Amino acid sequence: MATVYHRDDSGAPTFAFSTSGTNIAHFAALKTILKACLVSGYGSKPAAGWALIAEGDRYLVLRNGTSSGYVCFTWVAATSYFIIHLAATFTGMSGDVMTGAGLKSGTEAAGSANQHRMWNSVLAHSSSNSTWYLIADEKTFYFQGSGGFSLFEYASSDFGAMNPLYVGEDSAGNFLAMGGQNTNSTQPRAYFGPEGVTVLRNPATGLLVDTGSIVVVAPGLRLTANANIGVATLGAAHIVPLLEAPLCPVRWGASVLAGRLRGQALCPLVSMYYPSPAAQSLGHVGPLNSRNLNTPLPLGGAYTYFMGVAFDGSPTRIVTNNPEFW
Amino acid sequence: MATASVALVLALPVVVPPRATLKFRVLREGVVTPGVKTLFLYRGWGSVATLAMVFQTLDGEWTRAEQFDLATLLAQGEWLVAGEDLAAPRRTRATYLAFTESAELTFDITSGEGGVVGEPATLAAQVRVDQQPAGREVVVIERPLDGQWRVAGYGLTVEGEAELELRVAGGLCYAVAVDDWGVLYSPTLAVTVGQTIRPTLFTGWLYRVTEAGTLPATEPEWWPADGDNAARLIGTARAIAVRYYAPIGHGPVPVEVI
Repeated sequence: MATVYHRDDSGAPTFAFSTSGTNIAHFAALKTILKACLVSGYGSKPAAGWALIAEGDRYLVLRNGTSSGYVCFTWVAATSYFIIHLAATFTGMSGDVMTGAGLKSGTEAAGSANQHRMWNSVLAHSSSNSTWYLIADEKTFYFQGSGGFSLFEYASSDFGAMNPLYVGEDSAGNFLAMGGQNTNSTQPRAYFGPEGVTVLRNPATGLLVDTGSIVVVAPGLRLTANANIGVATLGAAHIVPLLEAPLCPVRWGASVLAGRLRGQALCPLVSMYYPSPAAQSLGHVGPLNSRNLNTPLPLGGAYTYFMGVAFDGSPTRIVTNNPEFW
Repeated sequence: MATASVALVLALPVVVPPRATLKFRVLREGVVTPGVKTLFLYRGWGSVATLAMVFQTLDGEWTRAEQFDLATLLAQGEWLVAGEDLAAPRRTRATYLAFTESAELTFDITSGEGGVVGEPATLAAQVRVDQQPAGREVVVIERPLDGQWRVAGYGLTVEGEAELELRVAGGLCYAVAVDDWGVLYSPTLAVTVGQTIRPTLFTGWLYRVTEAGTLPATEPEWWPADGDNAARLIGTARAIAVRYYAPIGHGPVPVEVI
């Protein structure tokens, strides 16, 4: 089982703070946390089983316990971000970036100026305004940094106060890093989704992405296109056959939660898709249109599932006679 | 406060394309040695700018197992495999390998120096199947005076003919013609024209793809060649039945030393 680490653990690592967003303290804090949780352990918390491969003031290279990949974090001096590289092997350092087979940062082909970058300016801003937690096993870790120039309530838009960072394997053994933004901007955003991702191998073929490019989708995770508007906007470029369709009921309420709307379900993975690409991700063959909307979705089992459609791209619903939803 | 229950999860009828798992045991000059060894795999010398796969030993012998899309492996045919051992004196070796199914493979990083390679020679090979010229691999094996069998050379006949280039060491040579054993049937495997499919229960017939497509999710009922042996549908591909011929050998055969 994955181990949970967080700032208030007994023996948790400590680090220096700085109110300057471009101070090395923020990257040093990240390194300190990652090494303590993943490599050495602390207090009563065992290490997650990762290996420290190389370290300098401005870089940290780690390998997971199953040796399925290497990750290199590189801080660019006097900036508020770091760069994420993945590789299948480690052969050394070139400056502050590792070298190795399949070295990749971001999803674009070799020669692109865009890199996989993560904003990191407040992780070590002050003890009273910041925290972190990390969940990891030998294959994968998820780090969540949190901080602000003042105590910040997560109730409004902000892009500089957190560091969502997933590194390691997915459930199928693919090695990837997610979190941040693939950009050449010196102010990358702290997204968590396909806008900030590096994958070592193409999951369709198993081959290294290496100098090539790859288009990544992550159904259910936000994109700039649907970040704050609450309506379905994702189109054909995001169609990907789902292996399973988690369905949850639709409820209504007024101060208190009332009952379920009978026969109504949401599939969070595709709720932000337009109905046609959503249906195609759920196995419908070809575009879903005003004539074939009555074609049941091929979800298997004894029950019938249709796409529900409504004005203005509201989150895509599924309508069913499955008794679980009646 | 009531806790939320886990919602229903429906499994969708999505079939994942077949994968092949590859793993290498990497040797140096035929023996296990300590240290890191790396195998770099490319589509060919013309595309070494893009690395397709990499395998690395961390304990000096076995690499990790990696999974690949079987159709991608088959469509490429042969992959350029370059092995590297940076331990002094550094060694490297490159060759072509084909991967047709999951396998644990041994790759020997040899210097290529030393050993008897023999005198250059040629052998005119002819292959007939049902009295018709046929393309087959022909392997020439030799029994030198020291009794240690060796492969003198091999090649593929084109329209039933091939001039095989050999290296002989003064022994008796035997030629063996080998048929295509095909690729084992795998559900939903994408196949291309010319590939040969082998049923899981082999009864003497293989199936040569005449129209590209995807094999069915469940193994079809296979058929023997009959009448005009018209191509039949298997999934979305079409194929004809072809008989598998066991290897046939001749020899000793005279070779012409150059």
